Amino acid sequence: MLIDEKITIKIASLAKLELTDNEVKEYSKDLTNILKWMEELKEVDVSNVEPVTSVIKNELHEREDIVLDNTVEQEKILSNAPEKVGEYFTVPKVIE
Amino acid sequence: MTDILKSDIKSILKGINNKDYSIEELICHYIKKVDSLDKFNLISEKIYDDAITLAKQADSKTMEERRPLEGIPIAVKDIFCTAGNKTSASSNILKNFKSPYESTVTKNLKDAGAIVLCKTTMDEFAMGSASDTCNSGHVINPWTKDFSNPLTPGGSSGGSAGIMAASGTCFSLGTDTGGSIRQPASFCGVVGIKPTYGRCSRFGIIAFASSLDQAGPFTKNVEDGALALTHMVSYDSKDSTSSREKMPDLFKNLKSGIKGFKIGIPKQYDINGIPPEINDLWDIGKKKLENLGAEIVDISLPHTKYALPTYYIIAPAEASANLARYDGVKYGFRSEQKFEDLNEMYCKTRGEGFGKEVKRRLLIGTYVLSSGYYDAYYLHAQKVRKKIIEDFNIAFNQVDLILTPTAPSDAFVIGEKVDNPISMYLNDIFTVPSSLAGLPALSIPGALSNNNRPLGLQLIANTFREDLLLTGAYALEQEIKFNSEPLLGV
Repeated sequence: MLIDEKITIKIASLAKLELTDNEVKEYSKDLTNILKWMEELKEVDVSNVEPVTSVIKNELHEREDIVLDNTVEQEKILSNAPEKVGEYFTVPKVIE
Repeated sequence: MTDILKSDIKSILKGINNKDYSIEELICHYIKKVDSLDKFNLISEKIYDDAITLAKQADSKTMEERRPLEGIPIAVKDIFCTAGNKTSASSNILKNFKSPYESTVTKNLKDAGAIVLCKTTMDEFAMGSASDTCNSGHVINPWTKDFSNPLTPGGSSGGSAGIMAASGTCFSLGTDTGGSIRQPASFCGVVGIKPTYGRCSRFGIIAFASSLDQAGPFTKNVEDGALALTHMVSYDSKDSTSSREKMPDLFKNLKSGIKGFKIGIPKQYDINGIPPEINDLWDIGKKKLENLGAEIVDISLPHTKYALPTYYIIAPAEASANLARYDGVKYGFRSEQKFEDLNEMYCKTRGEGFGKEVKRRLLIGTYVLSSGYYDAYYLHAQKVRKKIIEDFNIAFNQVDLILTPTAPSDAFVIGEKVDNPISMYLNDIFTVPSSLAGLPALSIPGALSNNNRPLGLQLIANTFREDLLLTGAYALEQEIKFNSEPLLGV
């Protein structure tokens, strides 16, 4: 198998996803099949081909670093937080 | 007022101007219709109170004050942030998220006078082709006759396509990354348009794959599509890939016909194993275009067969970067389990908050971007993508438009393809190549299948040639005269 359970667990930890044992089994199988399916891309000769960076002829434009919209209130933004104290988002303790 | 639901936008605006009905009456009429569609699970949130308030305000305006879409009810895929409303992309990880700001596309439409009646259900984070990965359960196609074997509306914009099929609003909004507007339009028998990449601002649209995502409308017909699209697009400094290219006037030549147009037929889209009725419809499309005076030209897009695996490297890679923001800190869901540390909070929150298909794609994306595999998968795919774009460039030196089927089947029964992700991914076989190339494309209803379900035809144009795209589609639509409608389970 291209992707064994050890690899799936490693990728899941990179993706910050906790998976159940069943999920690890199932995704190992799925990923193996999907990556096998992608193997056919290797037939394509891409020597001297530049990778795509943009699909349309468009230069990334820059703008002045100024506030465009100051109508969004802090209170509204904080109201979406799962946990908060006063004006702060809170998370489990990071530093001992 | 029943006939209103069948009317095009122009006639409805005329009805308002003639005072045949007030905007409030119009909105209430549509609300009643939307309420009758609950069994299809098309709607994620109803925004009726605001809609009625806006309708009353609109009614009090003088004729001079009225804007081009004043009072027109619309439905919005739940991937567009609309200020003050829940916006969850049908994911548990964004459950209860209330957007504090407005997407540019919905702002443009609201500024033009459109009234949002509801948000629509979709595949979670737009990842799917059957609208069966939604956190509120699967979405049902209004063309379903047997509710013990309900049909998929397609995906990911299944709710928005379904509500158009059921005439629940005047038009609706979707997003298309690999076919998420065109394939559901085909399955639901409506018009679905994906403009050129960069036409619609992505600001305020929850990101899936940023080099592919584009917004577009679902409409009853092509002329409504031209109107809706005209009021959606804009250059937007808040989206660094937004295009400054001026949109051509979509109405100028809309009805001038396609005499002398060259229409490309790519031989690589004639794929083994596709049901004969799909190729039959394609042939009908060719003949109708010929009847209209167009010239059919055989073309070759040699890298077509590599488009799907290329897409399933690039889109999950971009998704794995975009969805890294869902960490349970500033908004959305946080796991209620006990955590030892921050890392555990992230992993548990994301493990519980994301659904099965989203996690599958995050794993693919993380793998193809990971150290040691980046060159072999991601970089290689971006080079193959270049070859796919070059194929189209060569083709558009010879032709004005390309005609293909939209999807490789009619709407299938929900649950039929869940065990095999690749067979589900094949749904987008005809729509993904043009997405990878950023081209404008649309689906219009072509015929009913042997099972009496809609089948769509796809037209593709060169970048920024939405004018040719819509002129071609309008002409073909008049010739096809598709007028079947779903029975809505009655």
